[in-house]
Amino acid sequence: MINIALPKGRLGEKVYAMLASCGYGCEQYEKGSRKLVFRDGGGKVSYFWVKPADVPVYVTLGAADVGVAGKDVIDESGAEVYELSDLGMGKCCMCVAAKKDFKDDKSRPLRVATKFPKIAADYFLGVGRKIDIIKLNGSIELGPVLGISDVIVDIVETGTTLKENDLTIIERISDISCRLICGKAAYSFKRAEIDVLNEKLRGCIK
Amino acid sequence: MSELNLDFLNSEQRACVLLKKLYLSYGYEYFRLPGFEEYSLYAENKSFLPEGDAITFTAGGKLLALRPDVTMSVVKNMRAAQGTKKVFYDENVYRRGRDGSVGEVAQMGVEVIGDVDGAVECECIELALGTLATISDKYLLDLSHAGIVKKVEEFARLSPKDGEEYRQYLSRKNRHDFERFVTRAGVDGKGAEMLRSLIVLPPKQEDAFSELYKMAKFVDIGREIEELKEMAQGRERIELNFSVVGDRDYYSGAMFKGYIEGAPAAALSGGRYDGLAQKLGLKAGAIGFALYLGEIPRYAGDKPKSADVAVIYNEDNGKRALKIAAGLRSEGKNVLMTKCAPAFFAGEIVAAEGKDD
Repeated sequence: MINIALPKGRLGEKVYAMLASCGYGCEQYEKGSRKLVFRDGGGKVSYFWVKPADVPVYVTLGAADVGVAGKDVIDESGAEVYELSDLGMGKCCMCVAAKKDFKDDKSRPLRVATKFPKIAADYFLGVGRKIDIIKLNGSIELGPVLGISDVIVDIVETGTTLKENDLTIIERISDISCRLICGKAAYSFKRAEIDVLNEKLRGCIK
Repeated sequence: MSELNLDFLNSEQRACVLLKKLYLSYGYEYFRLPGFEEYSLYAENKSFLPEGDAITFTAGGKLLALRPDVTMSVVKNMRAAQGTKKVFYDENVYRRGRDGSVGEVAQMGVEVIGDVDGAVECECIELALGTLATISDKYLLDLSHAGIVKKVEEFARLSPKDGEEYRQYLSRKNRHDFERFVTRAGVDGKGAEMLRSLIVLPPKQEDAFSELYKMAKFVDIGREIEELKEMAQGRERIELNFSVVGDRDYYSGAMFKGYIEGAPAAALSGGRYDGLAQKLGLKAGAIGFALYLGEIPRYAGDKPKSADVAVIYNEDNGKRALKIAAGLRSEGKNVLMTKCAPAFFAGEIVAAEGKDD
């Protein structure tokens, strides 16, 4: 049996629909239900809904063999997992953004507001820029607007929120999309089953 | 002397005893290490360490660190040794996580420093397999070779920065981002094909070696393939898996990780680390591995061991209680003497009644 951690919400439901269409459906599944665990009668697969940011946790701790998580969540968690497929959903990018008139003062650390401190720290370490991180949990765009940060590191989908707050992208860090991840130990012992699931899922990706 | 029955130990303690016996049977010497070293030892070799900082403190004007890694201490303390040294250890390491939390991890492992030839490499793999077999009969060892990855990267003309990025995709078997990377980095043709092959190498040894031999027509990796073949020897429990990667400056040859069914992460990790030995001033080869002991009871499903019987006594009948407890112990029971019943006690409770004479 393969244990699959799905992210709660629209994306998770979309991925479940894909899995169901390639033979991994569950009669126990009910759309909108609050039930967190459901399995198929044939014992081929077991699903559970978890908070999107927790998917890598369930996979690295072995509660789930595979899971579906955004690239942002995977990178921020630093989880030691295999990334078996890009599911091509939830596409956006991780960017550094600032006010349109921003000029970097290299004589002091750059103040970076973000929900993703690890991604931000790794990126600025790579480019050799000293930073101070301001960890926020939402409305990151307010950082430069209210002057508590010089730049932000955040996910940009359409760019509308940035535009409405007079911010602009100054650097793209990476492309983000939804990935099928797998625990390294789980892959060692369930490789054949997981490879079949992965191949079928890849066949469904448009 | 008859074999000691180890049933009274938990799985971690049992593994510890059995592994000491295993390593001694190969002639390895037990090696004790100081619990701390000068911080500079770790600061200068940070990328050899797993993620996380050392826990530091000052004493006598020196900045010291609780040992975050055993291998470095072994190498450092072996610098004056003559000839080839084969040792094993049973130590704790201490690390600070990214979130500031402090962790203690129990490790047991072996290190060989000196003339490390093919026979020593094979012996080390044999010991790694024996170590995993001591814990469980369901285990696998993933084997890779830093030399092959290095030469394929050189053939594909990856810059050091691109090589680092490539090894991230390799360690995650991340083919989709790899495809974007080769386009971005301008790698094409045979180089891209070989880099890709290492990511998607088939699990069966026969198929994996056949892929590597195909690469050997273009890259000089014949010697490394033979080294891997010697170590793998067609054993079913060994799979070639190049997602096992390490820092280029330290690891030079074979690298491996051991998995036990039921354990969420690698239980054992090791490799040939001539680079580290040389960086620490040794003109010698080095190979070794560590087993993470602390996780064993969790995946072995150990139940907490407590007393079979609690003998409850008061200030008037302590002697009677001692007598009752001794009688029960002579029947082979584990007996706790206490003045009040322990919470959530699952065993039998016996009250020492009356008064002492």
